[in-house]
Parts: sequence; C-alpha cells; structure tokens
Amino acid sequence: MLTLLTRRNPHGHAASILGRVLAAMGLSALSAAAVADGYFSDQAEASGVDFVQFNGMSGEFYMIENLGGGGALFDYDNDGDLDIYLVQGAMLGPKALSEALFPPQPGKPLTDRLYRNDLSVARDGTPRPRFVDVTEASGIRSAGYGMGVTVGDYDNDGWVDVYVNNYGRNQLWRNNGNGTFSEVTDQAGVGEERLSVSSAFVDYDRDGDLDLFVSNYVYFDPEENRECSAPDGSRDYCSPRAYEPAPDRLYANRGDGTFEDVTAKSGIARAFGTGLGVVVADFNGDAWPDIYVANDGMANQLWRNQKDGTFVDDGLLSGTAVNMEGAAEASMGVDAVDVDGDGDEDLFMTHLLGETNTIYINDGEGWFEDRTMATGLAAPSKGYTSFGTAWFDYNNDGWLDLYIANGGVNNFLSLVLQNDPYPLHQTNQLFVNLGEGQFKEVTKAAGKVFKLSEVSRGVACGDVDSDGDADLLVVNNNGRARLLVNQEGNRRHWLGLRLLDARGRDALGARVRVERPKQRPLWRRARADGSYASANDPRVLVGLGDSAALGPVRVYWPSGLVEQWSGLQADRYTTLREGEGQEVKS
Amino acid sequence: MISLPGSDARRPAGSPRCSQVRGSGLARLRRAALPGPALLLGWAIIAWAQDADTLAAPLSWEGGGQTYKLVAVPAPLLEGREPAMQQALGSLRRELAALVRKPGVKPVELGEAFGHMGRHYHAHHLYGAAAGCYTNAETLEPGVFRWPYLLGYAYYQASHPHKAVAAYRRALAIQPGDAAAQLRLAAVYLELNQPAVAEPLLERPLEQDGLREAAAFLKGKAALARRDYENAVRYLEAALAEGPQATKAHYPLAMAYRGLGDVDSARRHLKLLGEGEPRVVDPLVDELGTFLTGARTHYFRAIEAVRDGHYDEAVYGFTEALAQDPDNVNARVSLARSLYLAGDREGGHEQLADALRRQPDHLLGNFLMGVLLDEQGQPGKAAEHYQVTLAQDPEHAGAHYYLATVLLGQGEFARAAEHYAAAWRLEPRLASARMLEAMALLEAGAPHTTVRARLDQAVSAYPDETMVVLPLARLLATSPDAQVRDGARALTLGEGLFEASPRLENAETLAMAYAALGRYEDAVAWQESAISATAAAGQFFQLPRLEDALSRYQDRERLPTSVALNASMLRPPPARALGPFREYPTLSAY
Repeated sequence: MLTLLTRRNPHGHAASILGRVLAAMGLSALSAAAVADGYFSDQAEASGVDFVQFNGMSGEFYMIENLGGGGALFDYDNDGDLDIYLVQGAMLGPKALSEALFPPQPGKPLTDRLYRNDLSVARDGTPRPRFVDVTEASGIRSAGYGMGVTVGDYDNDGWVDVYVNNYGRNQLWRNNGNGTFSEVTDQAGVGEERLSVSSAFVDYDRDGDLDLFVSNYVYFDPEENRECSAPDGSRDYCSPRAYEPAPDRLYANRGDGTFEDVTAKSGIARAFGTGLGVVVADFNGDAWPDIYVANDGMANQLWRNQKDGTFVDDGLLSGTAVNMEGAAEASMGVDAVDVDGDGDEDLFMTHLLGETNTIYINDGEGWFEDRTMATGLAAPSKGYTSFGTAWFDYNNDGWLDLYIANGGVNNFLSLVLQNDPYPLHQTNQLFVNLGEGQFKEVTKAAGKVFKLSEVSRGVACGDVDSDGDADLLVVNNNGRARLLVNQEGNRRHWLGLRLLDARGRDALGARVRVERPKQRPLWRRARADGSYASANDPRVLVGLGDSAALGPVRVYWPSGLVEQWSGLQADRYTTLREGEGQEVKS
Repeated sequence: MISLPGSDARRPAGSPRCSQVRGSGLARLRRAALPGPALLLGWAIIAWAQDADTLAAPLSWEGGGQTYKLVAVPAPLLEGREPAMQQALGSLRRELAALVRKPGVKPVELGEAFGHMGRHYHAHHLYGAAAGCYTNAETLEPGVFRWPYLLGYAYYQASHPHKAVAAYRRALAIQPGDAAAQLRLAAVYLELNQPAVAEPLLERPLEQDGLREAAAFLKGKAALARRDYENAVRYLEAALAEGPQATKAHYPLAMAYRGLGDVDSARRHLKLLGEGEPRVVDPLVDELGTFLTGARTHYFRAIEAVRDGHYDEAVYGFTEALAQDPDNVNARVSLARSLYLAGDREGGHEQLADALRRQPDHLLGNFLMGVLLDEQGQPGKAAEHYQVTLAQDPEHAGAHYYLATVLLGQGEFARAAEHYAAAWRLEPRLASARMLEAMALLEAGAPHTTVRARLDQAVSAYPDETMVVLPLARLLATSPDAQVRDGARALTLGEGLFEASPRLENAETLAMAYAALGRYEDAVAWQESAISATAAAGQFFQLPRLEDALSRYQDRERLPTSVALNASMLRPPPARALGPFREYPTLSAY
C-alpha cells in the first residue's frame, strides 16, 4: 500500500498532492471510482470508524434521548485529509448504566471520539481512508450528554478547534497543534449549560475572528420528565411543546481567547424557540453574515445582521419563519446553498412526519418563497421525519443534490406491533437536482446503504478520500455511524478549493464564483455549519460536469475583499489565500 | 355452518357467490388441522375472525345478476386504541362481512353498508380502510356521488393527491356542477402545484355561500403562486372579509403585500397570523363527525377544530367526549374555553365552575376563572383564583401578571411590583410586566434611581419596545432627582420614538425632554404642535392636560414625574379573557 500523505504537513496541500499523484499515475479522479452497488458504499467499518452512538434509553421516554448525535468532518492535524469527531451520549436520569435498554459498545468508554484519517492510496489507485481512534491521545475528555459539534479556528492559530454541544455544559476544545486538545471552556466563557444541539462559528462583526452562535432547544430536566402518550394512548416521547423553549446564545470573540455573551446586546434575545439547527450565510447580499435558526414546531428566525453588532429577526417578513401555509413546522436540520444557481443563498429545512421538508428560494434581496411543491420535494418527504441534511453535488454535474437523514421521534405503530426494540427507524433519501428547479428521488439507485433503516440524525459532508467527490458521515441514534463514500462523483470533473483568509484560517462564509466557458457560473460557499448537530468540510468542492475547462474563479472574502484567480486546474485541490489573488473592485 | 369463501359446495342455493381472489394467512390457518381438545374453541375463534377477515382480501361478489370486483379493505391496526372504538369498528366490520356473505343482498344495500363502514373508518382517520370501503361502495353504486367524493377526500387527507384527483374527477362526472367537489379538487391541484388547473374550478365555489371564503382563499393562494400579487391581495382580503376567523390567510396575504412592495401592510398581516382555517360548509364531510366513537376521537376532532378556529365544532367535540368521559376535568376546561371563544361566555363560566367543583385546585381552571372574573369586573374574586393557581405553580407567569394587576388596582403597589417582577423573570418576553413593575415601584414610593435601573434594564432587553422606552424617556426628563434626570438621553430616546411613530405621546415626550434640557422654547413648540394635532383630530378631551403642560413650559417649568408618567399606555389595560382563553399555552389541550 502506498501511503502518500503524512500527518506532519502543516497547512500543506496533501490533498492536492494526492490529486496530483493520482493524475500522475494515470488514474486521476475520473478512474478512481470503483463501482460498487450504487452511488455510495458504507465504508465506516472497513475504514476503522467503529463508533456506536449510545442514547441512554432506560424506558423513561426522556425526550432528548432520541435527538443525538452529530459528527464533524474536519482536518484537525492539518495533513490535508478529513478526520472525524463523533459525539457520544450517556445515561440520563438516576438509572444505572446497567439499566440501559441498549447497552453501550463494550470496550469503548462513553465519551466523544476523535478518529484520525491516515489516508493512503491502494495499488490500483483507489484512495483508502483509514481511521484510527486517537481520542485518548488527543486529550479530549467529553463531559455531559453529547448532542452536536461544530468546528472553527477561534484563536486564529491555524489549527481548527472543536465546540461540543451537550445536554449539560458545552465544551470548547482548543487545538494545541500537536495532535492534542485542551479544554478552554471556562477561560473562553462559552460554557453554555442549556440544552443545545447545533451551533455555528461566524465572524458576525467582521473583526477577523470567529464568534459563536449556539442554538438552544428546551429546558429539560430528567427529574421533571413529562409523560406523554401516542394517539392510541400508549406511552410515547413528548413533543417539544411539553417543555419551555430555551433562548439561544451569541458569543462575541474578544480576540484574546475569551468571548463575551452578547445575546442581549445584539438583540438575539428578543426572539427564540426550540432551536435545533443553525446556518449562517449572507442572505440579503450585503456582505454581512446573517443567522438562520431552525426551531422545532415554532417559527424559525432569520437574524438580519444590522452591521453594528445587532440583529433583527426578519423571519416572518422574509418568508422563512413558516411555510407557505403560514404554519410553523418542526424544523430539525437546515442548510443554505445556492440551489438554483442564481448567486444567492437559498434555504432548506428538514421536518417531521406528515410535514414536508421545505425549500425557500431567495430572490437575491433576502426575501424568500416557499417553492417546496414546485420542486418535487414535497410528496417524497411527507412520510419521513428528517434531521441531518446536506446539499452537495454527488455526481459533480454542477447542480447541488440533496441528502436527507431520517428517523422518527415518536414510535411508529407498525414497528411497535412487530415488537421492534427501537421503533423509530426509517431509510434515508437521496435526491438528484435535475436543474430548472426540479428534483428526483434516486434513493433506490444510491446503494445498499440506503436500504438500511436506522434512526439517523447528524450528517456531515466532505471529501473523506480526497478524490474529488463529496462523501457523507451519517450519525445514527442508538446505532453505528456510517461513512458513505461516493463512488459516482469523480467520474466527472471537479474543482477543489481550500480558502484561507488573511490570518490563515478557513474562511468560513467566503463565497466562490466559478466561471466556465459557455456555461452558467457556479456559486459555492465555504461552510462548516448547517445540517443537524454536525460540521462539514469547509473546503469548497465544485462539480464541473463533463468539461474540465475553467474560467476565472472569484472569491468574495468575509472581510469584503473580492479577488480573482485565473488558470486554476480542474480535478485537484488548490489553496487560495486572501490577498494573493487579483483584487476586483466591485 | 361456517361458509368458507370459495367453497361452492357449502354455498346455499341462491346465496351470492363470494370468492377470495387470493388466499390470506387466516384462510390458510382455517385449513390447518387443530388437535381435538382445542377444536371447538379454535373454530369459534376462527369463525369470529373469519367474518371480519372476509374483507381483507379482494372479492368477487355476485348480486343483482352482476359480478362485482371488490377491493380489499385492509384491517386497520386498532391495538392500543380506545376499547369503545375498537368494539364499535370491530362489530361493524363483522356485520359488513356477514352481509357480504348473506344471500339475497342487493348491490345497493351492500354499497350503502360499505359506505357506512367507510365513513366510520374515515371519521377515525383510518384512511386506508376507508378508501377500500368507499371504492367498493362506488363499485356497487356507480351513480352515487358521495362515494367517489368521500374517497377523494380520504385520499387527500392521506397525502395521495393523484388518487384524490381521480376520485374527485369521477365525482364531478356524476354531478358536474358540484361546487364543493370543484373546491376540493382545486385544493388538490394547488397542492400539486397546478394553479392554472385549479383556478377555473374555483369560479362556482366563489359564488356559493359556505364555500366563498375557502374559494377566495385558494384563489388568492393560486394568484400568489403565479406572483400575481394584486389578485392575491384582492382574493385573500375577500376571504378574510368573509371569514375573519381564517387567520391562516394573513400569511399569504402578507406575502402578497410584500410582493407589491407594501411592507407595512405585510407586517400588519403577519401580526395577525394564526391557525384558523377558512370555513367550508360541506355536509358530506361535516357528517363524518357523527361517525366518531370513543371519547378520544372526539377530543382529537375538537382539538383540530380549536386549531382551525372553529370553536362551535370544538364545543360539539368536547361535549360529545365528555358525555363518555364526564370526569375528565381537563376536557371540561377545554370545553369552557371553546364555549367562551364561540361567544357563550356564560356557558364557559358554568363549565369552569363545574370543573373547579370537581377539582378545586385545577391549575388552568383556576387561572382562567380568575381571568374571566377579572374581565367581568370582579377582581377580588379573580385574585383568589390567581392565588390558588400560584399555590399550585409558583412559577405561573400569567397568574403573577394578572394578580399584580389586581393588586395595582387595589393600591397595593409594592406587592404588585413583586408579582410583575416575578412575571417577567419567568417569562422574559413579557415586556409590559417590566414596565408595570417600574410603574408600581414608582407608586410605592421607590427611589427614582431604583425605577430608572429597572427601566434601563428593560430598555436594554427591548430597545425597540415603546412601552419601556417611553417611560424611561419621561422619567429621565422629569425626575427631580438630579442623579436620575438626563435630558440629553431623554431627547435621544424621545427622538427615536417619534421617528418610529409620530404619535401624540411621543411628541409630548419630546417636549418633556426639551424642558429637561432647559430648551423651553422647543418644548413649547412641540407641545403646541401636539395640541394643534390633537384639536385637529377632534380629541378635545385631551386638551386640558396638554394645555396645562404647555403653560408649565411657558413658565419654564418641567412637568412633575407623576404627571408625565400618568399616561394611559403606562397603565395595565382592562383584563380581557380572550387572549388567555384562546392562546394560553398548555402542555396538552385537554
């Protein structure tokens, strides 16, 4: 086996090295795909990801036990490939671990896990992600009942840090740059104790460092557990309406390793709900990041950045708080991308069984229309309860496709009657973007892994094997994590970009416009947030279709600077640094 | 004798031929050999099950000289449901199965029986079974409108829009001009994103009483989908004029106004957004409610009616449910709420009183009784109920708030302030509680520094909320305490208020701020403007107060704080039970 990458390659271009070597071997991305049984194959077990989420179920129907968990795809060791962080549950309430209905994985402590990717290339040119559990060596000792995770380099030292959402106090892990992490929650002042599932790093004040938004869910206490019933009278999980919603939090980075809680000062305290998902993007094209919060069963918020450190909730008027019927939906996961290729950020939310997942199309001014019916995404979603989601171009045809992770929150009677031990599971879905605003479900062709019926929650998207197409990390509640490796995308051409800002940090929020000869331009955004309880690969992966021809690539940096690069090569990763391109005056 | 389907040898002469199209598990079980001692019991069980299960597979049924292909009616999963419902549906299914086998039954008779069974299933939201029954009813009675019509509705509710379209189309082939069917079909086409097909179907419903409101609503939505904002506004405004309870219509209306660039109107309608559905007078669908059995199903129907703003229906549902479940105090409180919201305040009062007789410490019952008595001008009695509520739940923000208001009215200012403070601490979004706490503290003689601190805190949390910004501005402008008075900040706040809303009280506040800064000429000018505008508006009752302030400014005097803060908007509004009865959050609706 030929090992191409080393972990001692700080800020290196290992992934581009891999791409170049693959090309030199005459394999390139185009021939690296091995056709398995469909577009994706689950390679978690084969690659060493042996994580099984433990939800602490003990028959008490604690509503939060079926909410977790999440995972992150991020390059913690700066070796150019994606590593994995997975959050772990714990027991809830007074019962002992021995009373758990589903015992934890033997031999694995109940803590979050960090897996290092030792990516290599097989003799046939196939990239082989290989994950090694390095939790113990990393120094990460998670506490609390893990729900979700987000990543970002909050201290601008070039090493990405980890923020974990817990039931219980959240934790911030500072990356020491040597494979280890130190907990700095207290020093940083971000030990939010309310129940949070998702969060996002965002430089909302554009002062050059990452601030932190934490979306909180409800005030839950096992000692005050509510008893709720299914329509048939049997015991079931409560809806969030049984609990008080908890306010979200915004922390401003002071730039010295500490944060200030600016929730009230920024206006964020004025509205909140049962927050489960959060995504940050510039929705109205004013170059300032806005924040969108997906609430479970309550109106969602769209926090418009007022450019003075404050926000105003414009969810209702923007058309994104409720669906086209004027009804608040049970929003879980959320993602924002340019679905229709018109250069602005559209929104997509996943919802509860009986509701549709909902897509809001942006008119460019930050006003949205619910176009769920028109896109064909409504009917296929009504039978599912959906959580994590990812917009990604799985077939690299230049249109963003859609993955949805499903699994119920209330027992399915049909499964109960089959004596199913955990009657919440459903299959996951894949939709291909046909262009012209239409989608088609292609789940059946997507591979055996799509036949699995599980209780899926978090989804993170990234190119785990650095072969030029996007893979998926799927976290299952009370189940094994799945690593869906894409077997389809790199049959076509692609462009991979890592965007580093002037401080050498992944430029979260930077937007990229990729010109192609005689074809529409493609817009993408560097992002780690979105989905549900999870963090994505911040690199930008652009499917180019059947032509490798590229025009200029323009980057709209979060600082406001706009730069352009020409002559970039397709089918490889390239790092673009702020300040090194040709400035474009707007 | 057990008549096995498909066993011609056992079929009595003249009985309808009735054969299973394909075998079922139970059919196979029937043929299994049973050991001797269990034989009798076994056959008894099989016989019981067999009658019902006759329906679970497709049938070829002969009657009236014709052969009818009947579809399977899947046996719904009833396990865990209310015994009364299980019993009723099980018994009906067995009767229907027996009828299928009974000799000499006419197709129309069997068709009605399937339809009857279908409506029972439908009423209990068992759409798959209902659809099977309706399909068979339609097969047996091909010219009868109601079966394909109800089938379409069942398919629609079960999220099978294409099947719903086909069924409604068949219904309309029987009664081409039926406006209700046209309306229902249009709704499905809209869901299928085919507004161009939907819109012509709405013309007749628009002309028909009972359907006009829903038709206008759908017309408006169709226009909105086409981005024809003007027509969307026209139809949605018409829908709301016809049925103001259809608060759901405010959302598409707001979006239509937004499309026209009228953001103010859009915001106004967004504030009115609710869950009330447009009413559809549809006897065939409405009749389904009479097929419900078991209290729980009535509860669910009632709750849906509450959500849709159809309070008369909710009253019916809760009343029916309570007839079977009279000791359910929660449901009785829900009935009281529904009665009140349907306009029967006396009935609501009676049901609340009944609920509290059954459970004197019922939390929500006491709270609502308090609010109701408060509204009726009996604050003393109301306070007793608030106290009971708080004894049960010391963290009941609503009870703290209303009790504080009663205490304020009774002159117990310090206690009122305590309860207002408890209210906003428990429910931070209660901005009015913050303001009223400050006012109560002021009345209780608290130092202005304390009052200012409270208002500063409130403004920090709600910088755009007039009801906290205005009293702070006025306190800063008029306080005799030099440590508190801050004319410059009062002016800044006052200007912000006036800019946001050029109203009389904001103009007065600006005059107060100028007086605080010693700029009495400006104060006089603003006050004179306020007086002119008030006189022009014919609000002469305001003039003595305004003119008194004017003369003070002309004499280069500030207003006393007590006068400045004696504004109507700084006092609690009269208690109104409508809000708590309609919207008070509860863990469960019954």
